[in-house]
Amino acid sequence: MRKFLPALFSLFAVAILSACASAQPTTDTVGLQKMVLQAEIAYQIPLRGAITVKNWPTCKTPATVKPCIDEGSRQTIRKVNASVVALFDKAMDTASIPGVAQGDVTADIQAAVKAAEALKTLVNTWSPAQ
Amino acid sequence: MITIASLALALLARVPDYIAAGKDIYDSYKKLQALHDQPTPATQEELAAFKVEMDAEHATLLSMTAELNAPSTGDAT
Repeated sequence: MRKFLPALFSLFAVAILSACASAQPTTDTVGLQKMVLQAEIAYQIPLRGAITVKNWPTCKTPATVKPCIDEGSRQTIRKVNASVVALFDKAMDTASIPGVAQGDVTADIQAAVKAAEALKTLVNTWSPAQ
Repeated sequence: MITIASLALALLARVPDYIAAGKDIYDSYKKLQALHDQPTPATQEELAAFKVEMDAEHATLLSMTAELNAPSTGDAT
């Protein structure tokens, strides 16, 4: 029994240490939420552009009023925005988890930013010159 | 000639939209700058203020989404 005690204590110490390490918040939750908030505010800029483009008249053939946008693209812009908003919500939820790893929040923000880039590209393909 | 005039008129009609968009972009930039300069909230008061700010920004995002999902104002004119 004596022979096993040191090993038992070592195992106990390892268990306690790993429990403490996992319970310890890896980063500050408010700081992570602030990161998400910054990305959300930055997204308002391309979203405003999307609203402007959405409000252009629908393209009609053969007589087309310019600038105009086709209904399909308008719907796509709406769908992409819905996914961006959902991804920001997910990022904010992740950031609100006490002890969450910063990498998890960054990955969620990156996913939202990537979707926002898709919206930006879509909006940029529509210009008054078209 | 008529096409150029109608294009010019169409663009002129959009000027208020462009001004509004420019103002919104400037406002977003200022908010972003202020948030960047502001230290991470630490006290209870700062945390409460941050929560209010966070909720307000989320409400802005939702209202802009509602605006995007509304029918095009361009077709009404």
